[in-house]
Amino acid sequence: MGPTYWWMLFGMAIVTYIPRMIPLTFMDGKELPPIVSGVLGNIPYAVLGALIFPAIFFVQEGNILFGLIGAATAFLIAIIGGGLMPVVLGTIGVLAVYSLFM
Amino acid sequence: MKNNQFISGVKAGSSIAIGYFPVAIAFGLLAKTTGLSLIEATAMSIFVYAGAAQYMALSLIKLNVDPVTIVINTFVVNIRHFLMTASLNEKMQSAPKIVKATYAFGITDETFSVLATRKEDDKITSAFAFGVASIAYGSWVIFSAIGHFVGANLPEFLQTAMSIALYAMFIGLLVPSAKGNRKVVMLAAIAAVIHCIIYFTGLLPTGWAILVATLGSSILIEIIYSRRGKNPADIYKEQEAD
Repeated sequence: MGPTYWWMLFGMAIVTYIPRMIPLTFMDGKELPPIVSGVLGNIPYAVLGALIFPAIFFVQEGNILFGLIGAATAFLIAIIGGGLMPVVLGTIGVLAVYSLFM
Repeated sequence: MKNNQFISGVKAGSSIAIGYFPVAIAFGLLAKTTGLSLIEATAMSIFVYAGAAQYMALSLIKLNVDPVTIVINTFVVNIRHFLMTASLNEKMQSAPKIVKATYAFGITDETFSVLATRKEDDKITSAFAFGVASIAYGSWVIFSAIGHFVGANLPEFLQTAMSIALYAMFIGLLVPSAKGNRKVVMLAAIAAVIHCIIYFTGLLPTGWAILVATLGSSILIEIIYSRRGKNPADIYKEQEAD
């Protein structure tokens, strides 16, 4: 990766630490307006949607089927109530079989 | 006394440490498939220490997004911590700024939940917060490194299959929150649709597309829900439908 990576890591560390540190150290419990705290609370779920689609279909270049099978498997295991690890390992398992026989 | 508080913090935090085990192992594995060295991957866990942001960084590195955009995206994903630490502040024992600034590094979604749901009347001591934060942090860093180490010794077809792991993990994080919660489903779906539109029209580079999709969906859905919230009859309908 090289030096660019370490600069990026430095930047990531700063922008991760600031939101943790400032309110705890310097604020005296001021309330945010409800619409602002609502939007902030929404971000973790919205970002997941944006991260998954459409990138999941292009995981293996030129093979959309790989991504489709992966997405279907992961959603299926998650919906029937598998935890985080069963979802990840199960999906890898199915795609390992698929890539062995391709 | 202070020691006791630290120890009971460690005990309270041990469930987090166990929960971090698979997520950190998977992070190490994914970092390996993304092309990070053992040192680079472990350093990210040591210095950044934020699960969601680290996973996002991996997927953006994979998509060749430029580092500045990755840092901006990291900030956006972490904005929620402003909320958590602001609300936590009222529950914490007063302490010198340097003490608070130190344990603030250990506030994650999970340590926040453990601290914020304490039922005791007394304020939470700094020693307790240090206890919770230490064991969770230790687990995250150590298992990230082990995950990378394991990933380096896997056969080719497994490494190919593992390229899906990042997205499987995102799905595994999203689905349990989305079950029975239409707002979460809408948030993810709208963000996905916005991102797809930007992607296929080539309007913006990937990092910015994710940023716009995330903020756009979060704001849009919040406006829709706060309008609905003003009419009590609609909230009732919503609950019935769920």
